[in-house]
Amino acid sequence: MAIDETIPRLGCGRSIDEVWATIKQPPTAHENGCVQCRTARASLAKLAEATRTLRDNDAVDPSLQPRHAVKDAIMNLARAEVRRGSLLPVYRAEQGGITISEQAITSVIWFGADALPGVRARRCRVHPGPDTADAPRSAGTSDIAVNLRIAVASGTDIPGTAELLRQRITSMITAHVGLNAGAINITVEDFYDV
Amino acid sequence: MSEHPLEARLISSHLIADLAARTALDTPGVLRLEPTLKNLFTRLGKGTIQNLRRTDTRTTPARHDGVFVTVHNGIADVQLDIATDIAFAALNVAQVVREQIARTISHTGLIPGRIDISVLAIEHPPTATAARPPRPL
Repeated sequence: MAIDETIPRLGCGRSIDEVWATIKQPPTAHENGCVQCRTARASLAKLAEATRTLRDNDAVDPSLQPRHAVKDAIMNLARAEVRRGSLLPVYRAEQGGITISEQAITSVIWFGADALPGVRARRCRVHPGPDTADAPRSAGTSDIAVNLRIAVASGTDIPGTAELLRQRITSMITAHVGLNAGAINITVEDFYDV
Repeated sequence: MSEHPLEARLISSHLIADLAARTALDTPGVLRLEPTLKNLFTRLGKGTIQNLRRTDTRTTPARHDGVFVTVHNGIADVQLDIATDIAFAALNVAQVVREQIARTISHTGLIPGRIDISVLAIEHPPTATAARPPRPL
């Protein structure tokens, strides 16, 4: 086995990096019996302790704490990314792909549903179509499935309204997202008084 | 004149990020670039590292709000996060942005690598009374 001459080695042949890698663990049988390893471990233990002390001090050092503006920026982006939901792959190629966030698609669906008299959109989930989820897709051929929960006004013709809503969602996804809507499952989960 | 007017090492990832951002914002249907945690952490991390030691920006990723660029071996990879106008089909807009960015990168002498576009929001454009913020150069 070739030995890298640039790495400092102890008299027993072990590198100082190997000793450092296991400094937090109890000494091995070799390290207990090897004078060089014992000496190296004793020295490195002091270094490990000094490192830990510095790290602990940095964690509470006021001058090293992020400013409020930085914390706010991070939290705002984190919340926005949670709201965006998952990214649905809608186009894949060797030169790169296109994804659309679940929130972007649901916002289009909500917009279309709420514009329909007697309908209030509630929870909405969007999934890649079951037949094309793992297959390469080309632009305009991707299918997505929609699960939408709505509340309707009392006295609404539910089957007729659901069909109208389904057509509206299909056309809006095509026009504003550029995808084909596959299954659109609509659940009426509540009524509201007009 | 050389067939390769620009050496790849002369084109920084920052320039590609700026060009990609401008190209995207000039594409009809793109409302804005969307900043992400990845962008923010890249900026924070890069600033911290540069405070500690001088770094070679030709190989480090460049950050621009909504744009993440890596240049390696003369190939530029771009990740772009955008918001699109609801009046346009988002997928078509993203396709056009990909093609335009690939063309723009080619003009610099670099080879376009992976160009990934994420549409993070589909919205109505700001009202006419709201002034559009100046585009970053």
